Amino acid sequence: MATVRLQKINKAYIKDQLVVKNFDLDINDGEFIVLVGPSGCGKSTILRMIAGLEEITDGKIFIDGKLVNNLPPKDRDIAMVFQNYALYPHMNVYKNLAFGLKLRKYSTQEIDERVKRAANILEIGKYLEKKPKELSGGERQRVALGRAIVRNPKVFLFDEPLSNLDAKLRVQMRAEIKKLHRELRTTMIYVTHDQIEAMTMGDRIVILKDGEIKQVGSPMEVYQRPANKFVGSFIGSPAMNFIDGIIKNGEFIAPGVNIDLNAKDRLTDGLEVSLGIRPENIAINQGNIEAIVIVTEPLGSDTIIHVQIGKASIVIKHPSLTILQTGEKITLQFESDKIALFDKATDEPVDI
Amino acid sequence: MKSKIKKIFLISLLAMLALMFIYPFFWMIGGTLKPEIEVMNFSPFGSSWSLDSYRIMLGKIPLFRALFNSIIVSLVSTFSVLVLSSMTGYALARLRFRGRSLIFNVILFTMVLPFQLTLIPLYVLMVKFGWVDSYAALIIPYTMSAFAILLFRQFFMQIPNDLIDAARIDGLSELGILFRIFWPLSKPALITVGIIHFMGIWNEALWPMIVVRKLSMMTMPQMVALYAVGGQAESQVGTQLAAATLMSLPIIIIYLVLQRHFIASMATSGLKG
Ligand SMILES: Nc1ncnc2c1ncn2[C@@H]1O[C@H](COP(=O)(O)OP(=O)(O)OP(=O)(O)O)[C@@H](O)[C@H]1O
Ligand SMILES: [Mg+2]
Repeated sequence: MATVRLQKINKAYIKDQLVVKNFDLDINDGEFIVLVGPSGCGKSTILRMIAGLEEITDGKIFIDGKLVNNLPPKDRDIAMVFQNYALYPHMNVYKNLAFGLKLRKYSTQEIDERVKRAANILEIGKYLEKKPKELSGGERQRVALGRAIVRNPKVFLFDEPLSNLDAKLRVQMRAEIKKLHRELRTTMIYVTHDQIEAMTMGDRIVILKDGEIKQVGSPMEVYQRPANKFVGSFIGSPAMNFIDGIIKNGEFIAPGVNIDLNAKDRLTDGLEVSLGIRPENIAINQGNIEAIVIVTEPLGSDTIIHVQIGKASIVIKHPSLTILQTGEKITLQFESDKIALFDKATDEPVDI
Repeated sequence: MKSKIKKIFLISLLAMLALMFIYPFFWMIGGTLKPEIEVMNFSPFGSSWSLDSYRIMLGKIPLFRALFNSIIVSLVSTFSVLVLSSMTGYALARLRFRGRSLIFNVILFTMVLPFQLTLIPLYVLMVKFGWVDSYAALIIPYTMSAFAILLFRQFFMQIPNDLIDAARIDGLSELGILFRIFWPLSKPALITVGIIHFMGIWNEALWPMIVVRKLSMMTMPQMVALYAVGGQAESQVGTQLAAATLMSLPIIIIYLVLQRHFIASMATSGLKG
């Protein structure tokens, strides 16, 4: 149980090429925080710096209030779970779990108790004598979780632990890790590039791009109030739609689109903006926005409809099965309270 | 039917080839047991058997002392090569430090230098250190091997990075990672390096001849060479063969014991002999 505090962290592997920039984050005791972002944005680098596996170019890291910049990984009281499990291939499951404890000079009895307890929680008791290569991917990842929990660390670090599992197992393990978090109440830092994982697991989500924080917030906050276009397009599936246009007399104007925002006094005339609207907040066959159907993808319960408005391509998620012909003309309505506006110049959200 | 004939033909061809390779060896062993006059006969079998050749040879030279020296030198050197070369290989494969590629290239470069080139300077060094006629001279130049470093480096580079990270978090030092994680995972490389180096140093005759003159410090190949060509055998071929047989015995035993591993490791360490 501990807080983790990252203060103005910078990291450059090669001189003057920052891959993590001015990273500031306070993680609360017992919090489940998810770092999410596209490949190469620096998620693993941040996690490895917290673990002590990678040097910090600049900045300070505190775990439980203690500066750990110069502590080796073993003295930071953290445990880490890796994408490809990283179990010792030449040791059986029991020894894999016991190894870290043995190095820390725990008594044989204490080790045995802790291993058995972890094995119980994760239901891997019957594999204890097996070697990692005799286990399936899901079983291996459970063992890797076990190796982390026997140590009873202050902080758990996960680096895309579910990426190697198939879709079904991933959903199951997701729930299991959440359950583990509820039972242990330990601070967990979880890295993923999968926004669905981030949304379903995190107490708070940190969205990263090119080594910089784009937004920090609860899943609902980042979904409903994205701080910039990147977050809007990264969180949610299908992604948020954007239409570039201009403000005139409190109305949003773009080719084929003319929406009265009822905000004449608050919006500056001539402001160039991007209008963001989520696919599920667009109704079809009502309103006055004209669109041409490009393709429909029936998913069973929903239908994804791709349409063209003026020059903009827009995706709609319609909550029932509908088949529309390509080339068909339809009308659309944007739910007015779900519309987001972003200033084109600053990428900041504009209050409506 | 046709394929069966082809198979029989192939098998007999291979058998003949195998025989061609193994025959001189049987002939050598046969020669040590035959009466001296029949030694040069083509057949490895003589009209009668005796261990006279061995008895005569052992009476003339301190072969057991040489055997002891060879074992000490080869074991210590092989052990040291395994430890030191794997340490170097680990550093080159896994640690980030200034000058790493330069060091690696220098090590590679030493591999292309023929031993004859460094022989004289090395000998001068041994004289300056006062190591002539000692184990130090026989062993210390052979405590490291560029070939072994290279092999370990290649092998270690295939071990996933996360495994090292996990071990660091579990609390292992770098040496701990090498000996407790990498070594158990590198058995093929260890066995390959071990056997190749052991054979090499066991059969090395040139270097001992240069730095050792005392009979009591000589190694097997040196002693056997001295005995066979140096006149002491008084042209008795049987006794010369007996010395050669004793010299090759340990290698054969080691090979037979480790054969299974050796063939497997040649395959997995990417070395085909
Ligand atoms: N050891 C290294 N040496 C040099 N550059 C590195 C090193 N490790 C990572 N990088 C660079 O740092 C940047 C961030 O890498 P990082 O592994 O943290 O990304 P990531 O967000 O974890 O991506 P992914 O989702 O693909 O795992 C990348 O541009 C990468 O090329
Ligand atoms: Mg990563």
